[in-house]
Amino acid sequence: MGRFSLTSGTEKWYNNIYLSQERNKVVAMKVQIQVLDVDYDMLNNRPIVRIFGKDRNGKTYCVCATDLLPYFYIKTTNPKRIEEELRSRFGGEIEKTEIVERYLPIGYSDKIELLKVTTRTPSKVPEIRDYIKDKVDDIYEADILFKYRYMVDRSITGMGWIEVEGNPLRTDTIRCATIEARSITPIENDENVPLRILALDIEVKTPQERIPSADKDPIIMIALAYSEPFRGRENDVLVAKSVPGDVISCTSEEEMLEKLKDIIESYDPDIITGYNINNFDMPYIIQRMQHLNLKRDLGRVVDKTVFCQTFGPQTKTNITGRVIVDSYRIVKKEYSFKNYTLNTVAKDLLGEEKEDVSYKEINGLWEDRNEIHRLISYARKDSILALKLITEKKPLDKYIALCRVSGVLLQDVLDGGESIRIENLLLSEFNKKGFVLPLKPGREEIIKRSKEREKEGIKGGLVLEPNPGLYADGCVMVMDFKSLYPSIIRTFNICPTTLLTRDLDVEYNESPAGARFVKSSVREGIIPRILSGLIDGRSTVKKRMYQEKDPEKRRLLDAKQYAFKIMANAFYGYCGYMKARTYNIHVANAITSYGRHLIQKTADKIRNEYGLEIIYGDTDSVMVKYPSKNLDEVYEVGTRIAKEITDSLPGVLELEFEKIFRSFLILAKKRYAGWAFEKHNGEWSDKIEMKGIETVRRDWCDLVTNTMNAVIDMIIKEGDVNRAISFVQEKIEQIRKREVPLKELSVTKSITKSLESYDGVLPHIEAAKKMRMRDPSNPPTRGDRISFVIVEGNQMLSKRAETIEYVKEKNLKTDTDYYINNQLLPPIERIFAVLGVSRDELLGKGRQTSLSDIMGNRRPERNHDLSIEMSPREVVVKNPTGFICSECNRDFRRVTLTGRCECGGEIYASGQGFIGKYVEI
Amino acid sequence: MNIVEKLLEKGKLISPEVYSRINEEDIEKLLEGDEFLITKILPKIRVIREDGDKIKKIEDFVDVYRERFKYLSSLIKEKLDMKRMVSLNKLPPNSEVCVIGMVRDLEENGAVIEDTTGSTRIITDSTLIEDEVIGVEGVTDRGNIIVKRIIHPDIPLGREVVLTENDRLCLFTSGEVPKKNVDVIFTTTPDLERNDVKVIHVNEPVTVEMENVRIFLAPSDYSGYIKKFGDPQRALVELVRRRHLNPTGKIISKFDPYLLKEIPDVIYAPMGSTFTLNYKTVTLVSTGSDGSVLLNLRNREVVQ
Repeated sequence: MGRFSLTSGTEKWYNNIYLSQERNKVVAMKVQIQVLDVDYDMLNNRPIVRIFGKDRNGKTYCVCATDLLPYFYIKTTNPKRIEEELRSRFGGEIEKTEIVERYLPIGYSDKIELLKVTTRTPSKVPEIRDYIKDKVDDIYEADILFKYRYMVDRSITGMGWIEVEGNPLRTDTIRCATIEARSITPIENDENVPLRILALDIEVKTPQERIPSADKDPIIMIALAYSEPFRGRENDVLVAKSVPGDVISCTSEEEMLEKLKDIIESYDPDIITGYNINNFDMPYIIQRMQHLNLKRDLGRVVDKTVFCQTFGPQTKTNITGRVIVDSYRIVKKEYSFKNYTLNTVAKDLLGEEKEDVSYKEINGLWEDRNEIHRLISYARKDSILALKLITEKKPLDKYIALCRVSGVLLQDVLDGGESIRIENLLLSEFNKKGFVLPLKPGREEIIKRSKEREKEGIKGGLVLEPNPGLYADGCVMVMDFKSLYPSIIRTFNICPTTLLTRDLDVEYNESPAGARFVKSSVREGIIPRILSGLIDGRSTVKKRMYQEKDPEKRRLLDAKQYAFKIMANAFYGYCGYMKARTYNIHVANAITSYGRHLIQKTADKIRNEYGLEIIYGDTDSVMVKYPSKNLDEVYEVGTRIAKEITDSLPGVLELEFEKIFRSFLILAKKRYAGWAFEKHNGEWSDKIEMKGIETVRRDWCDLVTNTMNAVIDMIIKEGDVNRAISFVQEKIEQIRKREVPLKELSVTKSITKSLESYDGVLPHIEAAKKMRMRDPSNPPTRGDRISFVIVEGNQMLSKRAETIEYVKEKNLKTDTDYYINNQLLPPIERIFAVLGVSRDELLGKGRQTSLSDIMGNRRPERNHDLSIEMSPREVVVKNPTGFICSECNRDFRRVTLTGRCECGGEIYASGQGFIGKYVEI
Repeated sequence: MNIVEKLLEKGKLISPEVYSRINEEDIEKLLEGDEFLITKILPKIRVIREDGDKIKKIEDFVDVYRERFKYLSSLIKEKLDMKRMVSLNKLPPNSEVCVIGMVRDLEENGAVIEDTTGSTRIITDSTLIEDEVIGVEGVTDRGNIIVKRIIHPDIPLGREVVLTENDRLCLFTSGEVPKKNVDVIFTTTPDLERNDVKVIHVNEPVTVEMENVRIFLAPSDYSGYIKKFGDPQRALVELVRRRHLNPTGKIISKFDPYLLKEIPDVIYAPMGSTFTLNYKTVTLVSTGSDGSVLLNLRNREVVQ
């Protein structure tokens, strides 16, 4: 095996090396890598695309390709003149022009001639586009990022695999093995290479009262945690001064930042992560480096400066060849917590906590030689927790799956929204079929679109007006359309490419809103085709997943099916999204009009053909009343009806029987609570389901939350409205008598800025100000959480906020009226209102006799029998006292050796009035 | 001079038992200091607890009864004439038959027994216990079996009598604790505690092994059986013959603890009166109303 002089400081040999026949000649090599990041640079007046990836063994490569130039399409009646104008204005920048035939994206039509303009410099395309756009009819694909242009044209997907043949390239600018590609072929491979992760957490020294500012406040510590051992270490803490202990001491912040760069270069991570790294740690590091005039090259390309971009409240940092993963953003998307502090999140997801150092202590500990080790441990732990969030919870699997399905690179999947994923998929599919993709709409176009929307109106899903009340004497069946909008798109072939924009002699489907789409026999729409691919793909993966025994492989398959699902569901939203490239109001309206039509038809059919009452319906589901308490019976009927309706519908439209509400309390559209039963694997499971009825709000004290939950439980699960009323009456009494513990009456809020900078009067701030006045040595500051209760008095509400300690100390009285009338009653009233219970009754002023009561009109039932009937198969008999034959009812002292009765019937256990097959002793 | 002599010189006397267990270090200690070795070596007692899986469904109950039936019928089979054995769904009319069945319902003139294929009525005046497993030799007559002989699983004769090498005094008590030297106490009183002697509280069926002697502790409600057989001694013997100390008991787990698979050497079944008797190499002990029995496992004799 020969030796190669290659890039700076990396391995000296490769696998898969082909020696040429002549010795010492340039040799060829072949590698298979998984694509992590792509960028491009200009070299000799040509773009050179750099694909960063890793092979199975974890070796990092950069593959350089120069075989593509940027291009776009122009629709014009005078291509020759346009070409001349472009050349005269932009000279050598225009590489070539040619006439090509393509399909236009919006409206069903034949191919037309377009002028394809190929240029040299990707970054100049916007300028050319803007110059020419008013002189031509239309422009297409002149705003595609060059890296994605390359990837789509070569069928390369983010986190997908490619096989590269080429020769090793000697270069000082790329920090990993580099190959000059001669051919790049996408290959199928489900593996994911293990990625090297670096987690970091910085500590900054900043005066107490303000937010850290990068031009004034230095970084004092950088804690690093490694996913694979680095120089024998699992983690390190860099400190900007000399301290004893297990740290890397530096003499200055500058030296520390240089050290950081060294470590990043040597450890060479694929992923850099941290909790809130995008909004804090990374921008801060970059700004400090700028401030200290240090080179900001942390990526795999020497000299390529790292910079941050801020889009509104979010900041992104781009590091070439590496991916920045902000675990805070991921956790916020994936999980629901009361708050997202690292401590709360780590405790719940990892079972670990931060070290016990409060934000206020940092400066003190830094100065104290004997205590600084606590600060070091604290920072170290933070970086370890940030690493574990990625390595243990493995959230990246889902994102990697999304990369493969959409084709988008990992960094963009993490930072971007659904648009970029869908648009990349659209670009790829449109191009494959000979279609061009429109530009992203500019400001004018968006205004035009919103005016059009106002004029034509855009309607959403159909919501059937409910009769508010409690439904508990039978069951409520819930049936919904599986993936309604994607099914509509597929069934009726709805796509901008199939929209009939003029009269043609072709077969079409007409939507209830009037738009016409050619049938799939004429042309299969690209979006319906993509959706079918995603949905069928998902089924296949799910089947494989259920058969897979290896839990690791199973997890990856789960991530894959999840990615398919997310992408499929996002399509409808994209169709109605005004900033979508392929937006068309007729397409968007067609989809929802079919949806409304289907729900209406389904409701009508259930009413007329089955004689059942529809209680409520919302966009893709209907709730049907059925007069039986037997869950199995209702399940059977519901499943049958759903199947019969599905059979009567065209295409892939499917109505599914989803669940049963044994009791259902509906207050208004989109506001209900119910006792839901679902059947899985032959067994019933139940839970309380609530929609639109909040029981937790940040302005509510625990008393309200607890009372709401108890009341709903009593009404829904016990059917005992009277008991719920008594419960509330008791609570009110307890409040009046001041028997409720102060903690249950308190509301907790955080101080997010200095006390002075608050406009307006807020209760927790007023309480904080009082605390500061009473104990100036220990004032509440930014980051502190203040719990307060409202006491009696004459001043305005916020001024009557006091801490629990003060209330106890001075024996102050809580404002009972406030807690009854402003906290407790408002949400509780809304629930009782539909049950015919008035506020007065809750306050104990007796039940009002209304005129309708006297006239004998329907009075809402107060107490409901919520017994459930289930077939003996499902019942669990507790402490059975005997056995019985299911057929002939003969009693048995014990089971028989055959397990059956002489009559042939099955034997069940019996006890407490139940009979069933399952027991609990 | 051997160790016994050496120690004697120092004024120490060791018992043969200690001598047999002594080792080098102990000898040093003894020769050196004023320490006394404990002359009594605590016996090794092993408590064997068995648990069963929870009963979750009807099939689990059926499994337990089937297990019992399978085991006990295998014991009975060895005593029957295999040629005439039939299953209960294939009873030939008016013939001499051999069957094995579990008693399902007791009746005035006999019982209904069942096996895994079916059930039949037997006419007999032998005393039967519900849910016991019996072998029946008899004649079929109009759908019933007129019983000639009932066969129980029983314990074989000629089994080895297992004893301990040395004196091992076991106290079985429902209350009183005589002031005697004992090695272990088996008690039904929950508040009895001692720190010089091992106390085993008898509150669930469990086997205790002491130097190869198996003691089965079987607390249970025997009143039904005592009533059926007239007196406690007879009841206990009859239960042992059925190889099940509580056939009619409620099934609470998949383990059938009172089924005597391995035959114990001693059975402690506190029945409410105090007695000891031997049945075919098994010593049966019962205590009641504060009574106690002190049994020496070296010779299975009761110490007065």
